[in-house]
Amino acid sequence: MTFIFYVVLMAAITFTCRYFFFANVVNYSLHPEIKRLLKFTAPAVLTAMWAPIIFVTDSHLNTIGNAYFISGIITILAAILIPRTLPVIVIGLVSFGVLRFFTEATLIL
Amino acid sequence: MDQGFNRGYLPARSTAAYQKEAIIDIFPLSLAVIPWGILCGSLAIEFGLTAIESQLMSLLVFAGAVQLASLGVIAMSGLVPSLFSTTFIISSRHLLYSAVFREDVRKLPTAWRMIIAFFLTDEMFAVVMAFKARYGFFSKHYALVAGFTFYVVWNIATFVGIYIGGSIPDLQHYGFEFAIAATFIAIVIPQVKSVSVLVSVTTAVIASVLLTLFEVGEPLMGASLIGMLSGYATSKLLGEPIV
Repeated sequence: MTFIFYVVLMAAITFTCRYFFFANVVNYSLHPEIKRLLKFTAPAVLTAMWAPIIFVTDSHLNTIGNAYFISGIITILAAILIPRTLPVIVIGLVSFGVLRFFTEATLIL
Repeated sequence: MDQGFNRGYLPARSTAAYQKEAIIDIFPLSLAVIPWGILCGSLAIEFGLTAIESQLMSLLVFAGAVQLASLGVIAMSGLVPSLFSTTFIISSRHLLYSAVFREDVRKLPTAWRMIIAFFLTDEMFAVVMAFKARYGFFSKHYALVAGFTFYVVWNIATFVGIYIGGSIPDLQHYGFEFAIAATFIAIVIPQVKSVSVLVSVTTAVIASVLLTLFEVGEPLMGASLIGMLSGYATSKLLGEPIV
């Protein structure tokens, strides 16, 4: 039962972080310079999530022989050429699937 | 409302069309977190939580990294204060998302603001930012459906994990997280339309890779802040307009 209490407290913390700037208790506008900084939230935070998946495996830098690395580069190139999200994701996933299939096959052989 | 045709945005569509887009857009990300949801459920059982406690984590906390870390903290030390400080450190990036959406969300009624906050995950943030880049405005309907779809998938995955208990297959092996990478790449790269964003993204790549390689501090938060500050500095130096 105590753990449910902890879960509720953890939920309160996560919710507070998500709601914090939605609160209208004080009616202020963010400073223009803060807005300038926040413009980089999406590119920087999302990149900080995808880059290690593509370039790092178990504390080692991925190289050209790695499926994550190659498919990651293919996805980046596709995203530069194609402005729409869905086709880029499909190209990335298919290339990853194919590469994984072949690297697994090589391992078995 | 600024739904301008003249700024290269797609023409506005119906609410139903946006809701359908939300489900399609969040789909690859939902798929990618299924293994993590299963892991959260089964690890919670393995660490001795009851089925109800395990499911409540996903129903209420709804944050994969927090849930996994909290299980680790309980297992390692059992220290309650570190449970909450860990929760806060991992959740702190959501403060940024909250600030980014502030101007879009603050005009909405309280219930809407609370609902959108509850469903505000990395994944929801990512697809909503892509939506804003496409249409030039924030749609609460799109945000809600994207967030809710993700919530449902996350909770079903947790349930499956609870059901199969400690006997989970090696899910890391299948590389589901590549779907997250591919989706975020597809969302971020088209937003690189200025020198400052290019600098921000490049710095974030280098910083996140180095911090992850050398396991320094909190790589995600560290690299995010470095990327944001470098973008800001470039934007300031070049005198780029705000917004």
